[in-house]
Amino acid sequence: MKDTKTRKIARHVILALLALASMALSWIIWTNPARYERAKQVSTEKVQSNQVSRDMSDVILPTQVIYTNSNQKQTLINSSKKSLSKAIINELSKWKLESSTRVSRGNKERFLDYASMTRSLMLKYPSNVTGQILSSVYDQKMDTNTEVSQIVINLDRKNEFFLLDDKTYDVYQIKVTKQSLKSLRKIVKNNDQEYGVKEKIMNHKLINDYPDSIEVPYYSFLINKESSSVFTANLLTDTDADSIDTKKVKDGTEYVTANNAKRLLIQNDGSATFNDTSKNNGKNGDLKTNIEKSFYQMKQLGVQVDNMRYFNFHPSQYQAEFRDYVGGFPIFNNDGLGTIKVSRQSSELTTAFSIYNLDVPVPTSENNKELPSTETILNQLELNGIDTKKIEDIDVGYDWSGKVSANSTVELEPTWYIKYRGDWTSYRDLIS
Amino acid sequence: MDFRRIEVIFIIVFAILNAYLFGSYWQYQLESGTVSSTSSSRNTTILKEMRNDQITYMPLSNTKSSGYYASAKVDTSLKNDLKRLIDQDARVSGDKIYSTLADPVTINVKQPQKTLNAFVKNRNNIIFGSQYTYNVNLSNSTQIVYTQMIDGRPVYSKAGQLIFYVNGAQEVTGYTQGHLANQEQLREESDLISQTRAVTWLYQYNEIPNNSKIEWAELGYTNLLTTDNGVVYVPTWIIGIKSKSSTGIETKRINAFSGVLIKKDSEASESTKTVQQVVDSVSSSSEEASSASGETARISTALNSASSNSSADTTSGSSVTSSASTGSSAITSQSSSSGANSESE
Repeated sequence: MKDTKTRKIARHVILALLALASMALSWIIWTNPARYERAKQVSTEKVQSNQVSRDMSDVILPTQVIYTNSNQKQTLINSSKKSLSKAIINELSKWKLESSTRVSRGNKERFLDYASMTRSLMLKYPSNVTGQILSSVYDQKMDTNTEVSQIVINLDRKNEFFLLDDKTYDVYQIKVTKQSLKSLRKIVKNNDQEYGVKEKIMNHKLINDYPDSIEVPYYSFLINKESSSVFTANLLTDTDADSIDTKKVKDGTEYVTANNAKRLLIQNDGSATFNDTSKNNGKNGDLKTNIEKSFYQMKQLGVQVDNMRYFNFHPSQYQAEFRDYVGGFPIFNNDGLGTIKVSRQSSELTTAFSIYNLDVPVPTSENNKELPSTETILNQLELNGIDTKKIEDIDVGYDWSGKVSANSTVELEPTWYIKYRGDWTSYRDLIS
Repeated sequence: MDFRRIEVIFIIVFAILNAYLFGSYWQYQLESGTVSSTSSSRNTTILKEMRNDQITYMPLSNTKSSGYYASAKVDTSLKNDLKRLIDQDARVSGDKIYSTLADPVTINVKQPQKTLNAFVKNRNNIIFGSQYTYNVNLSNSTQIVYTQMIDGRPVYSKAGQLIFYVNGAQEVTGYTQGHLANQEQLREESDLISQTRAVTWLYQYNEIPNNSKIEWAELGYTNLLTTDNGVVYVPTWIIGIKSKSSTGIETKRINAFSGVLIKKDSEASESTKTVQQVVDSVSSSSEEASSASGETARISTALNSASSNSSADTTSGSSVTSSASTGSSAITSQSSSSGANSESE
């Protein structure tokens, strides 16, 4: 067989290709994440507090829904049977949200026009999220990464879908396809609690102004105490260090991994702090990264997050705060119960939480409580020497007070809460 | 010439190497595919283990439904409606009606509801009868159970049940009835775990004996805790297991929100049995009725204390269950690591 020139070249080429292919394949296999996934899988099978797995879409949710009718009359609507915001989000996930256009920039009046658009539905977030977060929560491909504090949807006209940011007064319109407004109108009809409101701006924050006094229901819950073993298993055991030091300290118990990288302090009053220095968190990143990473850290705790909602972000500490909500209003506790705070400093991750949480709802003996109008409260505050210009936010909230112990019930009392000098304080505490 | 041969050998070797590398790459891809769908694959793995343990089961559903915490009050005013009942000797004790029928109703044990549905709906036979629905899972040849419904699902708690007693001649001789009033939804609806997940949890808690059959798994509502303002009911998967060694069906309960095992108070069910015997004795001899009713009262007080114990048990259950869940997770990680071992072998 004569070795022609073409054959020779073909052989060289084939050999070179095969050699390159084997190198490429080796590289892919060595760097394939699946290799590590398998090792990781064992550690993710942890004490997940037995919950139906909760997604970001169950926690990063709008907390209030405002309906504006054809006469521009606004109501905060709620349903005690089915979560309205979850139902609306489920509906939105079926739509296709695409490109965005800015329709208003930095104009307070125009911003308010959008916020009180006739026949519209407004979804309010307690604190800004971003377009990318919405894209991932609603399963969308929006091209914007603007910050969003409210979403406004016109119930009659298609393609009137707006993202609002009350920090900048910017409004973005989103192009929507596959939109079904009929089912949205149906969901809105399902409400059984209504409070008359007027959306107003107060210090760059869109607030609910309740022009009349309102009747707000009480709620009762059984308090559940999570055993410390759940947290040591979830937070400390996935390291290479197989031993955990347990130390009694002055006001609690401290659990430390052998390499000192992770420590969990559970105090006698039920508050707990988890410090993790084992990972380099890198640059602190944007809001989206912070919210997402904080959410996953919160999820790691394995506690029940049924009532938890994304509540706030403190840029100075890179701290995301999640808080318990009931009936569309936040729950506040002076000892920090009912919140989970995740701070992501570049070399340290700190999670503050509590081993007590609101578990099972129980019937309450109290009926509704009447709360005075927003104006009355603001006037009262002014009379008591509070500088109302420094008020950042004001809304109804639930007061969780009294002694906590496992399996005791707590009655949550509705009352006015004011965000003053950066902190939420009850009306009672603020004037005293 | 030699160079050509070497080159050909190299081509063959590289071809074989590439085939091998591609094969293993493909396998990694497949595995990472299963990793991403962990929850369903985990269920499949557990179901496989169950089959290895000779546990058989009916087709299980992965459909997710929703449910809510409900509250209700034990009806304490049944006494006022007793006079409406005709042709029966009925008395109220411990918030339950104990009644003996003057004319026993003959039924077909296989399909008792055919005769009894009409009987139950008649307000002169059963108080609030239209609220009760026949429950095939709880009924057997000696008792036929009707339950009240919450959110269209049966109440698996004696306080919301109507239990008919059947004698050897296939006749209904009497009944006991508990009634729940003021049903309310406490919180918004929330997702529940699927039927498959409930059964696999139960297996992971080591509550399904080998060589047994899961006959049914139904969503119902069970008593979670009792407060001053009423009883809290929680959506629950109730799973009926028939073990090869015994004849009866044993029921197990899984909290459908959390997947936690709900321990039943055995004491309470035993004392109910005694009440049933007492009712039987009441129906057999009316002379002894007076003394027996005294006994019923005593037993029902015992029952009450037992049920208050059981509520204490369920509340303290959370600590028990968290340790149980730790155990189960140990099982899960074990099973997944053993899976990894078998793959590497």
